[in-house]
Amino acid sequence: MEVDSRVVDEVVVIGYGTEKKVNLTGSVSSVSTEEFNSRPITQLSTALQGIAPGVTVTTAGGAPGADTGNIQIRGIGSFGGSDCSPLILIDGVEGDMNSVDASQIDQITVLKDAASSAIYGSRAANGVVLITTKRAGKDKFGVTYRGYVGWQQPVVYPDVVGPEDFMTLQSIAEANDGLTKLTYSPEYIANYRKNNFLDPDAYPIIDWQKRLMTGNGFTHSHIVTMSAGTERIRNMASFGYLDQNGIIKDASFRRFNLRNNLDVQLHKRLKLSFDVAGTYSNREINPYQGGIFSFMNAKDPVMLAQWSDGSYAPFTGGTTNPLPMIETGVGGNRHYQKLNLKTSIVLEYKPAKWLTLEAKVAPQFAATKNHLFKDMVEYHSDPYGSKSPISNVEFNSLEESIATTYNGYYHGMLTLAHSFGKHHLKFLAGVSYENYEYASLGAYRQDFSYPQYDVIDAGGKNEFKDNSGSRSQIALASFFGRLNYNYDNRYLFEANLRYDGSSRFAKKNRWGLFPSFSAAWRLSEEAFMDSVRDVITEAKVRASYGTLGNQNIGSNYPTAQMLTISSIAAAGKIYPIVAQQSLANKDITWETTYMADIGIDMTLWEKFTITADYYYKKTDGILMQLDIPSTIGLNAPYQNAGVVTNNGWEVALGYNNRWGDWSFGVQANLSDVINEIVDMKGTYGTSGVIRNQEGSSINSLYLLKCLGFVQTQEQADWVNANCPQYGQITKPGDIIYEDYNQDNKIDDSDKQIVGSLIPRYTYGLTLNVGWKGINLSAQFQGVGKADAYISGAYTQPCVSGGTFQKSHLDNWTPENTDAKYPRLSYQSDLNKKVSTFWMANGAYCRLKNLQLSYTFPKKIVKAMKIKGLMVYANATNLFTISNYYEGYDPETAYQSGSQGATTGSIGNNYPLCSTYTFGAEIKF
Amino acid sequence: MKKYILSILSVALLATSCSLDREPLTGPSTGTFPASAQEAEAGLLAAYKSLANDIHQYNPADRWFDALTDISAMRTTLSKWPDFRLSIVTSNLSHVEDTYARIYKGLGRIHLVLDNLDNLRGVVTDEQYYQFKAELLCLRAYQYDKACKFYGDVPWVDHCLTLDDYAYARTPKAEVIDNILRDLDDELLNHLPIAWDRATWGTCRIGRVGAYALKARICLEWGRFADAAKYSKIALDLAAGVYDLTPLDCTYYPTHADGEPDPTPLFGFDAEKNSMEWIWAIQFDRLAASNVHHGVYTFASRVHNGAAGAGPSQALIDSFQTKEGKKITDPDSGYDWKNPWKNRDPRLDLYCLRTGARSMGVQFSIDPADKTVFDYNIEKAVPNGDVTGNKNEYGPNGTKGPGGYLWRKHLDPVYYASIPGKAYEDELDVPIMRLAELLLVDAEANIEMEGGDLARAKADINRVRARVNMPPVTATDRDGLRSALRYERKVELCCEGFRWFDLRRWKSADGKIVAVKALNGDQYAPGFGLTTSNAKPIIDEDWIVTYDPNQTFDGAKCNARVHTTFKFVEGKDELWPFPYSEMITNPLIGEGNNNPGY
Repeated sequence: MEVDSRVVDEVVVIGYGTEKKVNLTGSVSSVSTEEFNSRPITQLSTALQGIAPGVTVTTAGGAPGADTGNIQIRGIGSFGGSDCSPLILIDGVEGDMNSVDASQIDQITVLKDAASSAIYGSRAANGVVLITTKRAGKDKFGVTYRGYVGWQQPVVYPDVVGPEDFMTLQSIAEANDGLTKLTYSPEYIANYRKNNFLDPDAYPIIDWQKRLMTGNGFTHSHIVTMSAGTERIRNMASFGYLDQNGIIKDASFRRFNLRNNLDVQLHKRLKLSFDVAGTYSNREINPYQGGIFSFMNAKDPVMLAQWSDGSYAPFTGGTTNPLPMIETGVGGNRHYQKLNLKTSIVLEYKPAKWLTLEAKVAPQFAATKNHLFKDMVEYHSDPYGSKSPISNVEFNSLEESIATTYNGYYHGMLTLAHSFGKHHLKFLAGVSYENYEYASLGAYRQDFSYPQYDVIDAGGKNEFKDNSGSRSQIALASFFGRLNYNYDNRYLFEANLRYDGSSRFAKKNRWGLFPSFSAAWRLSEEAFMDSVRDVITEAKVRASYGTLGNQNIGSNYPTAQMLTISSIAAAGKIYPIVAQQSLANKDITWETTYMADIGIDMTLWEKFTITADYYYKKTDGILMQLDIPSTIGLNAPYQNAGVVTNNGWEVALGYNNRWGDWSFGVQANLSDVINEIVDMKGTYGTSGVIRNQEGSSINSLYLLKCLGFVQTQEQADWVNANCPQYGQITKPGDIIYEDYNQDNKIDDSDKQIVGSLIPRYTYGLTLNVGWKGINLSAQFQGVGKADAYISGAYTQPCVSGGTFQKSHLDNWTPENTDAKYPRLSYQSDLNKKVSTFWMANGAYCRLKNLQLSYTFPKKIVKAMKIKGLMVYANATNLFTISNYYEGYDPETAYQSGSQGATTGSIGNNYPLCSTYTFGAEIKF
Repeated sequence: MKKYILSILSVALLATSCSLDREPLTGPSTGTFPASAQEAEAGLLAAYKSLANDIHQYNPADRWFDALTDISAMRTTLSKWPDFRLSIVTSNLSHVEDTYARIYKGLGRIHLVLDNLDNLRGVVTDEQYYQFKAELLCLRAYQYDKACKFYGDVPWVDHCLTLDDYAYARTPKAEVIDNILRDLDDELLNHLPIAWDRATWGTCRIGRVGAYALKARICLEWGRFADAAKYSKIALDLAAGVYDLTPLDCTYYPTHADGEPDPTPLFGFDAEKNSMEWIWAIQFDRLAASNVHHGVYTFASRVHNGAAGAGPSQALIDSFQTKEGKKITDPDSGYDWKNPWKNRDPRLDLYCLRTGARSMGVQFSIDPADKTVFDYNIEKAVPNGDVTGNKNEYGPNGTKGPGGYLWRKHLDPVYYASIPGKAYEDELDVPIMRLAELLLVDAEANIEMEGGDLARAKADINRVRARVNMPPVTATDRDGLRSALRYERKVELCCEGFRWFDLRRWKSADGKIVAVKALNGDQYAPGFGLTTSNAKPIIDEDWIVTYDPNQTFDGAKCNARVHTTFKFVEGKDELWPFPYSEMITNPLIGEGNNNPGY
């Protein structure tokens, strides 16, 4: 696992060991530190975006600390009750990827097929990401500083109309509705700006984006790494700090990162590794964030938000006016703090050259704290405060909770490796045990007389004070083994076996066996290939099959008939009650994934690499809450019922070359996955515009199909007579919908599956050009096919209380029949029904990252008495090609929830940001 | 070297020897439950608590059921409740599904304790054991009686079900009723205390009086009149000296300026503590977990920022007798339609809210001329939200509102003062059983049974009337007393959830159930903009009120409006439809097994 030894013959980290890349029989993507090391990465989970084929990373938004990536490996294997995220292992122990600083990483390996991940058995069904941190080399001493400063601004935000256009568009809609007395007469509109100058209280104008987007977006990060190594003791210590400000006030993220990896050669045959890592982060979330972005993207510009005397107007349009929160910092605060402490002690004993014994103890502790203080905000219903102020909430309140996790990890294993002539054998056997302890504690108070003290003790000691607490545990025990046989480096075989026991399941279902088999043939090592060796440097075909499990099924005690303690009151006294809420399913067990993979790896002319894979993955026994008769008197339990398949392919190409002072490199990858729900026991699940049903992909869009606009009165008459739409009168300029169920009327039963939120054809392209010390690298990333749906005032005109987008100016009128948008109307909601008209294409291609760096020549560096100096300028999300909603970011279209479910696309999330940074790496 | 190998092996051994048994840490699980008297009590109280979970549209369900009958007018669109009045309810309506599911959830809680109650043999005293058992079986009888009244034949389940044991066919309701009456064995009930200690238990738990009253009520519902009379007598005998009718102040307040009628000693927070009339009630308390309803919000007027969800119908208002006990249509009743509130049964103003009266400290008016009303809490005029503002279409006489009147019965002024900051959470207990109802059960049983004690029935009715200074009924014959009884239940028990069942239990002279007449045809309300009407009611011997648009008190054109046109289909609307989800998930029922007519 040492940095230096890998350059010669690339070695990748695999489950419980390492393997030469050429000898791999499974589908593994390895990302070395060089590929992202010098980029300013705040959250490690986003580093994999566009780099590894078959790995889809989606980002929900750009809020500091929440700008993390959601990783899906080879499609989505489950819906509903269980977790679909891959298993993340940091130096072999489950952990949070974002708790590690990118600079501390040596290598990231993604185990994609059953052959490579089955050794992690019951947790590997969604793939495995192995993260290996850097360790110090022998006889080396060095100090490295890496740092950058930069600023952020949103990639896109909606282009909303100004006051004149707003009033004009409203007038058009009112005229369409047959109103004779318009809210805004043409003269009123024409004189509005002048009148605003004379009397801003009666003629208000507000630019929400300008007023609310006032954060400076300043970001800086620093990390110092010290590496010291002697023959017997090697140590790598690093300390990092990240500080990220948002594009709105009261949104920020600070993180401290510490890691110390120590290796001690206790004895010729005995090595001790002792690692300590700690992370502390504090994420400040604006408590009104959703409201702020909804005002920026969708609120009208003639709203009265602030009186001329500076006081703020109340409840504009049914929601809380967020201006005072941004401009005067009132309204409370929200923090999310996280503390992570990890240690790992490994003893490695090599009694013989062919035998290694290893024991590992790795306890981890994590604590998260949530703090939400909501304070009253004063609004005035008239200027100069002649009426008493109004508050947005009736009382202030503080909610705090702390959740702690203790995770103990222990393993012991032995590795045998021996060669007999051309026969190379490797054998690994191990046993591991993990236990998790979760606890939470929460407190609530309201009525703070002194709101500046937002601590529980300062709250009112009244009947509303509340608290909560809980505990739970899980334990996992595993036996695992791997056998590699390699004949003459030509024929490679591997078998993995994992036997997992989980405390989640009843005794009879507790243990599960997860085997996998794989084989590879290195054609290039055959004699008959000698003639083409100067063309085909390396060629290998691979095949694998195996079984994986998913034990992350929501509840920690799904088989226990839980009794819930609650209370009842009688005669003013509280008595405990005990009741069973849900039926337990004693038969519940893992979701099982069967996966087959074939692939090739080739290197041509020593410079050009090709990797291609095809896979078929079937997940069986997906947990569903099937309806049970009400007579049971309890809520339905989860049952192993659903089946989902993922069918996909991946291709990765690479080319690297060097001519004198010039170097050139290109890495490209493309992958696709087709997801299908095969069995839902005849049921379906609909949530808003999202539907899961048999025969379609998970998270399909379920909408009416728009056939176009009604252009003439004759057409409208025909529609009203022959196929009335929602019992309303269709007029020229209205959308005409497809009568899907052919019942000669349009209603909700005409909805059909018209698309899916799951991204397909995800790709990435990285280009590198170097000349002497100058290096230019560009990384493109994109999605070839995806659908998205945002509705409401974010994209639609004539939504009560909403504004118009500039593009709405192109609306249907008898004079403009070739319009982009239908007839405007407030009275008719016919054009706002959920339909394909409002659906958007979520495909995009984006210049994710562009970096220009300069490495100073040795001569200059020497003169400066340092070992190395590199400076760079970097920009992320520089430009995007897409046909998405104007003003919204297609990358955020896919809103993945914690359990793999999605809420569809939303219009008021914190936008992704472009970051412009300048950085340096100095080696001492 | 050996010691290293040993250390590595010991890690391996440690891992294998670690147990994978993990029990939930935040609460007990089933199995040995109940292992102690405390656990059994907690389980039993959970069964009581399930009654408080039957909330529909913010309000305890019982209060909505009356809104579906002739005595109430409700908002014209209100979470599909009005569908019940139009005979268009379907099997998948949430109220149909939820009520059924909640009954069985309640039964599940009962069975959780009952299944293993024998664990307690030898752990607790026999007396305690039988008390637990008696209460659990009373609760089970209460739930099944309700189930049969709504759904007819329902699956008889008498133990906790599992995924392997869940399918039970619909049991004939007669068999279900036989089962629950057999459960309420006298010998078992006699283990119960006459009443649970009020200071300890309030009105939460069912005692011996309540148990026999419940038994009498069930017998009466299912036509077992002699048994009903027998058990109501036992209950009343036991109740003597323990329970009594709560006196009410019957002062007439002609206008809001004169004061506010006060039903709270019998229905308000005061009653929870002190009324000796309450035998058994559903407990609500903000301090217990998820234990509030929003009754005050659903019933209060728009001025109070309430929803004005439902109120008395014009037909109920016109049902109230004059102070002398006469129908208002009697020529010699002295009723003045222009001054309709004067000289009426005091319960009109005690239980109902009409224009000109005061409610929770604020003047009430549906007269559009009253742009403001006087708020006595703050001593100033406030905008009259019932007729002005953007919500008045849902006001007490709005185009989408109820029919011009609101309920006063469950609104406690003390409570209103404490509303701010509580999001209209209401913690008023909801009585299931009070002495007045028991007296009327006793009266009805004696009237309906062959050879019943008519004098006793008359005395029961008169006792209830005397509390509100109403003159005793004069009738002595069976039919006369039956009519008096039907008036008394209609008026005394309004908005407490009895009417729906009364209309289906009672037969009128033509042999049909009273509901056929009461729940068919036009329901009237004062015209928009008016506070009362000139329509002259026609009141029959069952106290069912109908109107002839050509009959008015003043001979002028009828100024009342049709609020809702009721529809009741015989052979169908006696029952609710059977819940859809139960039909399709229970293989022993099936989709074709709905109730007749659905």
